[in-house]
Amino acid sequence: MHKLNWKYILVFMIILCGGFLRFFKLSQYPIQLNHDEVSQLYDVESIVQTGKDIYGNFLPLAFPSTGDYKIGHYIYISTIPYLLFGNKEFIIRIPAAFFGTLTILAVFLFVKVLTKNWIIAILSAFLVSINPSEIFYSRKSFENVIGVCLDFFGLFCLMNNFLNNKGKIWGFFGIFLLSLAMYIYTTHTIIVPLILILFAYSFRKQIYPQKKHALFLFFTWIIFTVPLVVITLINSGLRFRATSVFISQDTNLGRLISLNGNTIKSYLDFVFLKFLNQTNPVYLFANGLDLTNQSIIGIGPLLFAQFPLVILGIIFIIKNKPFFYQGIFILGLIIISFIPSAITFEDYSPHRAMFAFTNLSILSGFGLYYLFLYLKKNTNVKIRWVGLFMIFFVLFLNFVYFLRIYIGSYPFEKSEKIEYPMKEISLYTWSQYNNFNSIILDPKFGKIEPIIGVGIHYYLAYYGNISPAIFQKQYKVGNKQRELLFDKFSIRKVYWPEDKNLKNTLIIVSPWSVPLADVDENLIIKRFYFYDGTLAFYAIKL
Amino acid sequence: MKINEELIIIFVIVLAFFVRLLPINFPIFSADDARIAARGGMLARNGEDELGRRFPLIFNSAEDYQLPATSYLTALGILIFGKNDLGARIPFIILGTLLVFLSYKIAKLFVKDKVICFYTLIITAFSPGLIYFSKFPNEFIISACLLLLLINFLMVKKLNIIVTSLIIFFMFLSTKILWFTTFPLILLFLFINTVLSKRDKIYLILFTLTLNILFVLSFINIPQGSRSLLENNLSSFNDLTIKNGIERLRSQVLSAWPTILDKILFNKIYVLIAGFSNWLQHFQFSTLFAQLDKNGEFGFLGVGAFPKITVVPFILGIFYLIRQKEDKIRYLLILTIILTSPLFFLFPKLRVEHLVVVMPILAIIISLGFINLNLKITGLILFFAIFEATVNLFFIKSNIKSSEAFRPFWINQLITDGYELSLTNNVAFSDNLTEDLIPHIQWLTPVNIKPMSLDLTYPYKFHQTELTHIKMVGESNNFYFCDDQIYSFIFSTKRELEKLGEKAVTIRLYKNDLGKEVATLSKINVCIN
Repeated sequence: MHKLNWKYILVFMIILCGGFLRFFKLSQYPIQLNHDEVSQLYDVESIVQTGKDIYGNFLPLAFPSTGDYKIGHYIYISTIPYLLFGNKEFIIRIPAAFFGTLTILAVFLFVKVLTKNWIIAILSAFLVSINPSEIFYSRKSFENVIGVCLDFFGLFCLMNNFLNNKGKIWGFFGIFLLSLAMYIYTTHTIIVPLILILFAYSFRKQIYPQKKHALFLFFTWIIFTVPLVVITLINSGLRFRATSVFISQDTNLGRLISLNGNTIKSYLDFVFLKFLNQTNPVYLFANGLDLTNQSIIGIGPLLFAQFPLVILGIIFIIKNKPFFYQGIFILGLIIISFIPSAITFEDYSPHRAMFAFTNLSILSGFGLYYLFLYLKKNTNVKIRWVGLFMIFFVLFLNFVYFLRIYIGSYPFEKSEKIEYPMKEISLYTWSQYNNFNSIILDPKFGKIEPIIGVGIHYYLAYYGNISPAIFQKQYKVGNKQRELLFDKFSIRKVYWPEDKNLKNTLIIVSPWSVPLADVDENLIIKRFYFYDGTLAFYAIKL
Repeated sequence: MKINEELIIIFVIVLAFFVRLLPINFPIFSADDARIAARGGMLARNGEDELGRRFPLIFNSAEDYQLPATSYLTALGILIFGKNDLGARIPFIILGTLLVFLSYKIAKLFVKDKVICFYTLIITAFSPGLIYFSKFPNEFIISACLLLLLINFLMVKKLNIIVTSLIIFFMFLSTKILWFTTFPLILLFLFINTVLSKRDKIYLILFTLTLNILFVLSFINIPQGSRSLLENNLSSFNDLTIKNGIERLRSQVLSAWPTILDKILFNKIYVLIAGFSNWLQHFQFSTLFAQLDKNGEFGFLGVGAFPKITVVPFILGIFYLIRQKEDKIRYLLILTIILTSPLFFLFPKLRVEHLVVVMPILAIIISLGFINLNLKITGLILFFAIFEATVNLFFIKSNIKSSEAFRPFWINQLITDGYELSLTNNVAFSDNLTEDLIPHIQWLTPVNIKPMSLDLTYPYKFHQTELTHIKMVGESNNFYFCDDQIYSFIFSTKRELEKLGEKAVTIRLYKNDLGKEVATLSKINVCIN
């Protein structure tokens, strides 16, 4: 009993440590709300105050948001911290951080019930708690974090039913949670049915004696998911979101089809290539999170030190019969969870493969356990402790490296990716509100190449404290290129030869749209910089 | 039964030969292939290379020095079959086919089960990667062949000193990569082969080591030899992206973050991580089973080193190797690591061609994966593997299009026209029509090549810019009107076309393999400075 308590305390400490890494200075890192976060936050405010999104849609399932039709569950969940803590920037990050922390517990329970081994479960939970992708995505408002958490809890419940015979209600809960995950994020809509098939096949011997109950759960799952299918079919926003990210949008595929002249072969070759690309170790362990611009010097969804542990984990499950089928199940989950990334249009989409990264962390937990066993079997006490110290020191050093990249380099290297410095621009613009008749913002900006800022109207509205009800009335699409209008703001492309003749107008523009040399120095009243000090925008007073 | 077995092996090898032979003009030669083929023609004709050197041991190219084995082997083919595609490619097709048989033999040394060895035979015979590299002059298929031959001769009770020494000698003449791997390989096999006499072992160690040192020393004594090694074989130590990246990240100062920690986290040790990552990058599943070369220079479009379906037995083979307690088989993994270790030093270059030497070993691992599969599934996998390898041969046109940047087919017509015009006129070509046009001209036409008089015996990264009546026009060249040395026909890209102005009369337009107009033949009388 005494021993048992220590194990629970250890688990609690790991969760606490994971929670700390996810919640500590949540409003400061990342350095600014990105366009997704600010749009979700303002839509939360809009929903709470008016029941409608900023475009006036009543309780939508898919939010048009910045044109990407976000699935609405994260926004609805975020209304809870909004109501609890009030209108604060960080509240939009709370659900992800909360479920990200809960995932550690879910992983512990899942691995414990799967392997019946406390140590592997604790090690897996520990590695998940310090996993870069888990921390990175838990600190931004990302719904997939919730999905991953639900998947593990769902699997834990199913296993409690079929592997531990703890009662049929667990199975029902499991199916409920897995079905819920399907609603949360499209990735889970794809992988949950495959997970269920894998589960049914892997544990067929344990399921067979309860086949009637299993059939009942299957039909329950069908009932739970029918509304999702119907909603997806009838909701044009959801359909748009699904088709706009599908692999058919990939220009490389288009090129391959035009080269091959054979669509089926091209699709087969391309999907297979993309699928296998997801297992690229350099992407997984070296630079896949894309936090720097320094080629190989970056950080992957997993720590580099986890690479040997993953390999050892694979060797361990192959060599040890008692863990073979459990290990194969984990490998199966990893393979399945790479599928969504393989069938979408980006080369790599780590945000869609989070479930795979968590499972890889679990696999590295097996590897760490294997190392422990090796040290225990082959070394004396002194060497064992030195070995253990070395292992944890390397992991610690690698984790510190991740922190340094995440806190230090990421803002310097990638600030434009979170539309930095839009917050500063918004606050400045509002400070000048009374000095001008109209304010124009050109959304084209960037450091190395131009990108179009898609969330500027959200930044302006949120940081201007405009009531969503008022915004809904004022907001309209203008006639000019990319033009959005509300209040005295116009977000559009600036055409300098014409616009320079405007009067009593504040224009905020980047050098990509109007080169500095074209503007009289005296007209520039403020400059805005990216985090690394590169000029991002400047304000022209006309 | 034995006859049947042999018949089947012969049948597979004959099939392997034909899938390598047909179509004979595929893949289209890259500039380097054309250079080797043209050089082979010259060596076969009068024993001189393109620089007029008689039977040299080091050749030159646009990228690096080239070791002699490939050029002389090509010369042999051309000597027998003439200066044509068959002559230039047949030695490599034969070597590629021989490799299939050698892989079978090597599999027999490692695996007791004959059926597994037979699977290895099929996998290597229909490996798209090995098929591709058997179809054009290259050092990689030679080194793979010699390597398997060496392994075959090392796994014996009594060493055949002369043959083994010769193989090692030729290995050193084939590719620089083997200078890094042969000695560790010998050590490994002396470790595996416990029955070999101590005398033989000492001889092998001393012979290989001496030869290795001699080759390396001789090479670095060539002007620019050290530079060649540093740039082409040890680029990890030469790469600026790591150095600059470290400096940049260190410059992103955080308040309250100890500087010493930054020095611990960002330092030159990253070269090792980068090297290891580069090594791993070559072994990713997508390279092996989905797309061998993303640039399009090597390998079929949308196909890896092995057919897609073989990823399943490959994974099972790895499982088998890990579970296996028999040491000899487990050495396959160590062998793979040794043979690919030079990739560690090649960051940031992705050089999939260096995987050719381990493809037979990987084929054995794939075959081991069939051990735990029943005959029906094995048959199905092999059927799909052969099917995919064969289907590729029906998509030659797509392959030509996808690799047109490295292996341009469209220039054949342009070169033929240019050569005919050069018989009576001075002709100029833009030097950005393709990677390096002169080797293509030398290969595709009977142009009379006068050996260039050079101050240097071994010029490094050498580009030839002139042939009889033919001149390459670079970005720095300009056109002007004059009386002598007039160039009447210019094959130009957009760059030269703008320089020529409106006075040039367009005679013909040339489209590249993607159907895009990229070159113009113009008539104008100008001089070039």
